[in-house]
Amino acid sequence: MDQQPIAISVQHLTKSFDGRKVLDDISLDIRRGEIFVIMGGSGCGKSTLLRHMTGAIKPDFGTVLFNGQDLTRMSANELEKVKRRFGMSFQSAALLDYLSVEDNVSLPLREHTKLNQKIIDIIVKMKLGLVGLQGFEKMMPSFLSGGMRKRAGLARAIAMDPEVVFYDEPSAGLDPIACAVVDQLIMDLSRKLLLTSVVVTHNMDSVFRIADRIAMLYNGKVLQVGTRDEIRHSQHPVVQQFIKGELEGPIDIRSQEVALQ
Amino acid sequence: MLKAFEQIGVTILNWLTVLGEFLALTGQALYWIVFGALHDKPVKRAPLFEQMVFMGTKSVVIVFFVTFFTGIVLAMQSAYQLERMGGTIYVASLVSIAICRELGPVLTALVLAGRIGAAITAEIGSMKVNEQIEALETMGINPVRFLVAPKVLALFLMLPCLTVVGDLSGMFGGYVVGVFDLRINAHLYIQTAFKFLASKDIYTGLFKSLVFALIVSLVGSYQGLSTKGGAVGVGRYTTVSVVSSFILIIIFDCLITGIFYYWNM
Repeated sequence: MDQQPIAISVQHLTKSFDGRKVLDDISLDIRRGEIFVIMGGSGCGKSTLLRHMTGAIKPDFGTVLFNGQDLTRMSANELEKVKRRFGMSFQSAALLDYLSVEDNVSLPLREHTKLNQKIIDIIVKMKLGLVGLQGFEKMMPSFLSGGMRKRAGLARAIAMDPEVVFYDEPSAGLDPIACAVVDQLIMDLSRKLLLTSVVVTHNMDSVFRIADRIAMLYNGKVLQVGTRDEIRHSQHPVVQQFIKGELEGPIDIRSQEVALQ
Repeated sequence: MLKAFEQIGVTILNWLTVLGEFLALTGQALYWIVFGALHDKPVKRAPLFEQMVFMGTKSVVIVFFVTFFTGIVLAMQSAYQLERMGGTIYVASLVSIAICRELGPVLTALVLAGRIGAAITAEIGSMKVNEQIEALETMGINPVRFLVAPKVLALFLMLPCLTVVGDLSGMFGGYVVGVFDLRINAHLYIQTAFKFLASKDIYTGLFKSLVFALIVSLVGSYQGLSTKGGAVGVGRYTTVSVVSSFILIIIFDCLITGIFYYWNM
């Protein structure tokens, strides 16, 4: 994996909201074809980092390079074109609830391509097959379970054959088995379609199941980047406390909560 | 004292920001409606017709009732005054002019602000808080083009039609009072109703309705896209949307009436 070229390069990214620094001089390189997991506690800035990579937020300082192109200095038009090479799976799946599963998945194809309806139907069937949802084409999102909605959202994310798929908390709100299914899917898709996957999560089981490399974020900074084993055997007390979920340690959520009050 | 000035400054700046964002949305929505075809992305027929049915056809009954009863009330109230001067026949023209110039367009717009403005904000707002707007943007689909433009165009086309419905049913309300209560000859009533009604009375009313359509749909969409704060937020922004549409409709009604008045139209 080391010899793969860099797909996304984040350099000195800094962002503040209302005077609070959410991202503080973050630099990361994500290689083509790897599953890169960003983990960290709630509010540590991991979702914000993800949204910088998708071009949804502009940073205060720093750059995000995708295949060498700087996303932060693109015009809206150029950015819209680049975004077609991205797929994103949202925490809440974010399916348009007035459209059926089929129409949701075909939406980007209809908007961005001139393919005829028959071909679109075939692509949609294929993508739904990949996520194990064949036969659910006509269902409305509100009739699906949380796990199925996530998978439908994933089918939509890969509809345009993207180069990079971003996953925001793919296992949030799912039972352990549905969560394992989604994890398996992330790995399968990344291998079968040769995707670069960027996953934001704080579910330790999935982190160690799927990750090629892991970045630990803490207070808006990157504490450590490494492989599964490097992170598991990390000497850093914050990383150790986080992956073991211990109450005692350098991260003191209870005192943060008191401070917030 | 300085604090008070600061507060005023901050408030004015906030207002200017809102105004700027609103005008930007207006510009974008109109751009996509007019020039969308140049980018090979015209407003799609299916969502447009769907919106036209929802906004137009399904509002006919409520518009009818509101303007019909207003016509009745207007006729009775004016008859009460005109009777003393022996001029009950002029109820006919008073009702038709008041309805066509003023009450038809304004009441129809107010009804639609309540029905459609709220629906637009609630729909776009809940899409916003459920990440669906962000999902569209991530797919490279412009939410203004995809969601706002069809709604604006649909209301722009349907509100004048509904205003005509409102004008007719308001005049019919006056006719009912005139003929069945005031015992004016039916033929004479209709003749008097149209005798003083110039075509400019109708088209100034319709012009107003076009402006109101833009107000309701764009304010609704703007508030929807600004929504934050979950389900509570959707409720709050929907309220703001309806209230500000109401106020803007009345203000613009006054402005347009003023312009027509001084231009002698």
